[in-house]
Amino acid sequence: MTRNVRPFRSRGLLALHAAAALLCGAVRCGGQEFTLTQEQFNAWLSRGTDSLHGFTSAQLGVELQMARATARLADAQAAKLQLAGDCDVARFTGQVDELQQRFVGKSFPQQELGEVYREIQPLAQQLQQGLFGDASLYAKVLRQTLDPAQRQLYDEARRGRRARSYAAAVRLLIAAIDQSAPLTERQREALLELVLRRTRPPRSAGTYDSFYACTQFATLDVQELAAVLDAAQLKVATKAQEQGLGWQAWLASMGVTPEP
Amino acid sequence: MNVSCRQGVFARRGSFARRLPGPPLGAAPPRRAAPCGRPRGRRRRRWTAALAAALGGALGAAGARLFETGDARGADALAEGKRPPAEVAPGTPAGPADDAAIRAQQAAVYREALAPLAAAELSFVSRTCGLTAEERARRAAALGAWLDGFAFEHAAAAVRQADAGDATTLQQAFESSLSAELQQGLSAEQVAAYRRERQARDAYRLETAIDCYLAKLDQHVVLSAEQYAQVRDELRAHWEDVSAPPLHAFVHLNNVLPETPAARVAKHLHPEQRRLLRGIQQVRFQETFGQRLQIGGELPLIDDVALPPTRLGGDGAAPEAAAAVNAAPAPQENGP
Repeated sequence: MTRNVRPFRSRGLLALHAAAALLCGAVRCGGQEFTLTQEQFNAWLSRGTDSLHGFTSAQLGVELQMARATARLADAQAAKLQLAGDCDVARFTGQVDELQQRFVGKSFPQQELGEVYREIQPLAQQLQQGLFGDASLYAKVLRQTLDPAQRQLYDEARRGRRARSYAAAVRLLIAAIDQSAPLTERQREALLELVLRRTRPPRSAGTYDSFYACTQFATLDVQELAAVLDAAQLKVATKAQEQGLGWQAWLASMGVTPEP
Repeated sequence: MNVSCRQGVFARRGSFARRLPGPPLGAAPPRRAAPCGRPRGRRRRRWTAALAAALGGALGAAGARLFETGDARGADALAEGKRPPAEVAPGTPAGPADDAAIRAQQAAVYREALAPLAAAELSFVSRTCGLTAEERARRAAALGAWLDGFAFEHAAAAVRQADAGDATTLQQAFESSLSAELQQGLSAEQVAAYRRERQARDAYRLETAIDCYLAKLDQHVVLSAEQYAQVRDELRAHWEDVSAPPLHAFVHLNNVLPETPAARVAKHLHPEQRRLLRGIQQVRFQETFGQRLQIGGELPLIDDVALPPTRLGGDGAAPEAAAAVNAAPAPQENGP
C-alpha cells in the first residue's frame, strides 16, 4: 500500500510569520483590528531583506550574466533580453501594486490576517523562485534571440545545472535508504550509478527535487536493484519505490516531469 | 536573516523530547510553553508524580544502584527486581527512589528509541565484516546489554539536551561508544574493514550535503560551472568551520538555505549574486538525533538483525524472535 505524504508545512510557517509580525509590533493594533503597514507588507513579500526593485534587478542580472557567459551574447541580443526581463519585472510589480492597494493601510480583524498573508504568499514564492522561468517573457525572447549554436551552448549549460541538482537529490535518496538498510561503499556507488544511468532529471530543478528523485527511483526494475542489493536491503528499497510511486501523480500535477 | 531551526519548531513527531517521560531529573520544572502551545511543565509534573507512585517501589532501589554503576549489571538487577517494593503513600513528596524509578522509565523509552540506530549499525558491521550468523547473534546479545547501560546512563541528559534543542553532544557520545562496542571481538582485519567503510560512508554523506547545498544555492543565484567548483572546493576544505547542516535540512527546503558562513560562499560570487544571497533566508538546522533520514515517509528498518529485548522494562521483541532473525544466513553482498 502506498501513502501519499505531502511535504508542506505552510500552516506552521504561516503561524510563525503571523506570530513574528505581531511580536515585532510591525502590525499596529487598534482594538481587535490590525492595520497592515507598508513595512510589514514588504517583509511578507520579500522577507524584509532587500527592496523589491533591488532584488528583481539582481535576479535579472544573474540570468543575463549566465546567458552572456554561456552563449556569448552580442550587445544587441543582451539589450533585447534586458528589455524582456524588464517587462517581466514590470508585470510582477503591477501584481504587487494591486495587492498593496488592497491591503496596505487597511485594517483587518485578527482572524482575517492569515488570509491576507496567504494572498501575498504566491507572489512571495514567485519572487523567491525567480521571475525568469520557462513561462516568462524573458525565456521566450531568449529562445527566439539566440542562434542555433548559441542555443546549444545555453541549453547545455542549463542541462548541466539540472543534472548536478538531480544528482544531489539522488545522492540524498540513497543516503536515506542507507540509513534504513546499510549499504557498503560498493553498493552505494553502484546504486548511484544505476539510478543516474537509468533515470532522467526533471525539466527544471526546484523545491521537489528529492521527491522527484523518489519517483524516478520507483521506475527502476526490481531485477536491476536486486543485482546491487541483497534480499533484506531490497525490501527497504522496494518500500522506497512504493513511496515514490505514490508521489508521481502529485508531482505531475505540479508540473514536475522528466526532461525530454 | 538567520533563523535557528530548533527541535519543537520543526521537530518531527516521535522525537525524544516528546517521548521521554518526565522532566530532566534534578532540573527545575520547565516554565516555557511546549512548541505546540501546550503548557508542558504542569502536565509533566503530574505525569512524573503518577509514574513515581506506580514504579517507585519496584524499580526505585535497583534503579538507584543502576545509576551508580551506569552499566548493564545495574540493568540486570533492575530487571530481576531484587529489592522488594517500597510503600509509597499518595501525595508523598518525590524522593531518591522516585527519581530512580523515573530514570528507569526514561531509560526504557530512550533505549527503545536508540535500538533502531544500533541495529542498523550492527547490520552495517555484519555486511562490512562478513559476520557469520553465530557471530551476529553473539554481537546482537552484547549490543542489547550495552544499549541498556548506555540508555540508563544517558537518558536524563537526553531529556535535558532535547529540551535545549541540542542533541549533538549526545549523538557524538552514542556514535563513538556504539562504534567502540561493535569493534570489540572483531579481528584486526574486520576492524580495518569496518573503519574503512565508516569513513567511506561519512565521506558520502559529506559530499551529499555539499552537493545538496550547492544545488539549492544554484537555484537562487545561478552558479557558473567555475563558481560551482570553487564553492564546492571551499566547502570541502572548510567543512568543519561551516557547521555542516544535517541531511534532513535538504529534504523540505523551499525558499531557504541552510546556514553557512556567508563569507565562505560570497567571495566566489559576483555582486548581483551576493545581493540575492543576502535576500535568501538562512536557517540553522540541528541534528534530529535518533531519527533516520526520511523523504516524505518513513522507510522500514532492515530486518536482518534484531536486538534482544531490553531489560529495563520497555517493550521489545521476544528473545526467540530475535534469535531466529540473527541465526539467518549472513547477507551476501551482490555486485554491480
